[in-house]
Amino acid sequence: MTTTEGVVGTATAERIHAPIRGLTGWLTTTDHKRVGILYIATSYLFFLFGGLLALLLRAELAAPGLQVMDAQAFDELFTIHGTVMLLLFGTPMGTGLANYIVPLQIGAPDVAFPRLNALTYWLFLFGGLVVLAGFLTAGGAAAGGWTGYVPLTGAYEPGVGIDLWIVGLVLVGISSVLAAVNLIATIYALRAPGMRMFRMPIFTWNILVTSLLILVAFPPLTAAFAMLLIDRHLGGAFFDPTIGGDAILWQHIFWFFGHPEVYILILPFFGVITEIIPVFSRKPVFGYTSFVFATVAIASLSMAVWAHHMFTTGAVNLPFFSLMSFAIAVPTGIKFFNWIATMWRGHLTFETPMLWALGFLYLFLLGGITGVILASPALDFHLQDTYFVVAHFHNTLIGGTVFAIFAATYYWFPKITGRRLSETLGRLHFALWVVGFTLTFLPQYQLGLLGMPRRIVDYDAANGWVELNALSTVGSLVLGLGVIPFILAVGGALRRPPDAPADPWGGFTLEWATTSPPPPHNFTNLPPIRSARPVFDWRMDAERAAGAPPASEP
Amino acid sequence: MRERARPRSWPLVAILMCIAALALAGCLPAPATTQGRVVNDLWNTFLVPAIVVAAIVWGLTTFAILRYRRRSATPHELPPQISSDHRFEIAWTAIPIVTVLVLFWLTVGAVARMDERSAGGINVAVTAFRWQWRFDYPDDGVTIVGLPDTPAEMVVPVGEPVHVTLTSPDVIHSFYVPAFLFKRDATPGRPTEFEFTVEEAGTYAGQCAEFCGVGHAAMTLKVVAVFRADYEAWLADNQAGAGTAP
Repeated sequence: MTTTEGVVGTATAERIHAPIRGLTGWLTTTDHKRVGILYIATSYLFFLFGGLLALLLRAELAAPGLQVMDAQAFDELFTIHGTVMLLLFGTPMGTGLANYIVPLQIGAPDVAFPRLNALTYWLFLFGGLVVLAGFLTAGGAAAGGWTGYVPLTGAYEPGVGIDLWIVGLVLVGISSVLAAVNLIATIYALRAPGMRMFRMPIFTWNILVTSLLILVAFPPLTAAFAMLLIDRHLGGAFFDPTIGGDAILWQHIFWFFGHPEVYILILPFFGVITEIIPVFSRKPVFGYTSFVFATVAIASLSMAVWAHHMFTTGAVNLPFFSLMSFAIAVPTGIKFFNWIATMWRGHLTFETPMLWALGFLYLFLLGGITGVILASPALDFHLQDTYFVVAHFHNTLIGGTVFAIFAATYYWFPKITGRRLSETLGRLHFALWVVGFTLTFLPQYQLGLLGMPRRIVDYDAANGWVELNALSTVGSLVLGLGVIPFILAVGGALRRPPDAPADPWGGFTLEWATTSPPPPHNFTNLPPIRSARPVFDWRMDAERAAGAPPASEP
Repeated sequence: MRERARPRSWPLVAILMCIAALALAGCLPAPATTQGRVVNDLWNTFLVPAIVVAAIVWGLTTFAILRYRRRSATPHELPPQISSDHRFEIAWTAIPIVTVLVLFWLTVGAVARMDERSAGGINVAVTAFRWQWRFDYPDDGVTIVGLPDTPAEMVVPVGEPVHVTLTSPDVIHSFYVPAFLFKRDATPGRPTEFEFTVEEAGTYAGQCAEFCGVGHAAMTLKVVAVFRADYEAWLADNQAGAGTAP
């Protein structure tokens, strides 16, 4: 603070805008970039915790006979594993990336409601910790499955663990709704001049559609949780069939949230893939408009397919929900062909973000195909609640969402931290995950076809499930080991001084027009926005003016 | 050098995954019931478009990776900046629509065949409870109740339709016999019914498929299909009253 009298005004302005340093800075921040980093880092910690639970579950299932834990512990672990991965990792990771990237992509200085934004993070963090606090209670954590089916989670599970699970998830749900409102307002109101809706990057489009979906999906979940709490503690009978309630009602409300939720978990990451493939193919995205409409179509259909989780109840209209579920394959297929067409005749390079994106294309396809199989009630009668379903949704959520999260991490890490992640460690991480994923989940498809139900702590050796389970457990170890090079890459990068250029990949969208990391209010100047690729246009203009080859190729 | 080596590993991954996908083919348990045969036939039909779609998408992706990787000769040259072609976009919208409509039509037919009800046969009232099964034969006054150490066995005559009504007094369970390629949830307050006809004598293992608490994994059962004479002898042996499994 060695300012002279003459420049006090500027110094004050700088002090106001300069971030507060240290822990206080992180606790009080309303900067969308810092909130984004908090979201992403916290989500990754929950991911590591959920992954640890998964390794324990696979250890228990490695061979017949109880070897690691009893049934109660197993039930708690798979319940919390599912809850953590879906609601404390996947969903907030999307929110965190959106928080950091969307304002940059639309040329905004921050989100529309920065303080509300900070509140959503703290609600998410404490909601998550409340859920995990169940492990500290005498009765243990919630053990009713992440789907919380009644009447099991009603009178049959009296422990306080389920109450903590309900209350924690209500907080997380409120956080998601508020974050969605904030992102929608940001995208509608804060776009830079020239950034028309149909010039927005596809990632931002997908965040907009996902946020609208959150507004539809999460309030019913909160309502269902309120009804369950009333049943559990205030003598209600929404779900208790012995006094006039209906157990199927829970499934309808839960899946009216739950199925849009799986698209809330994938649409932002479809957007990530659509950002990365064009940049590493050096071509514009193929079929921009059909990408947008495919996203809108998927989101719309996702609200009309919930009862495909309930085919085996015998209580739902099979043809309608089957047809709607089949129909989702059409817009998803359009995206796949658009991704391939984007690569077609391009100049592809295979840096780590692109490797993860290509891994996504190969693996997610299998999840999509098995999803079409499960859309058929006749086949679902056999496959529902077996390891085929477990393999299917891990295929879409790991081969899809998690691969895209890693793609996004390698892609935007230089922007967020000013440092690039090691390509060597990144390739090792990728190779281990492709092998680990294949070993873990392809055997689970076969286990499901053979009829192994999910959520069983033990199985009879006579069923012929022994070898496939052992293989799956070995695969899960490879996945666990595969995280180590990633942690080393992140740790190593953060110890080095920042040296990443503004645009390390030859990017197309506005986040690459500012420094890495960006200054507190993001941009000191913006390039003109005349297309969906303002930074590409800017680079071409500069080259034309200079008559020189591009400077920012990797 | 590395630019060349890396893409080369991709076809290997793709081929391995195709093989893995093919290994899935035809690996359903042999269907033991008339209704299970319908499911098995539908599965075999679905495998064809599944493998064709996988081959097309994985094939095109692999081709693009190999053919369109950046050559060292032209590091800074831009490829043609094509961003849309309506002919292709219409094609890959229309073809999937037709495909899923055909799959839907086949599914509706299969579900209708599974829902057909035949006359004759036997009635069994199945009650799923935490954590075993109770099988009541209302026409013959026989009741079988499973215990944790002696899971319940449902004895049925081969080749005759078994009409099942299914309920639960506590939480949701699911009656599942993998060899029947079928399951149905037992929901308290919402009885449901289905029918199966076992085509070959034998013992078929089953278990609860809807998570129902700490005893879920132990909630196993067996369906034993025997010839009519043996079935009647078994009924006579068990008519004395409620007992445990034979």
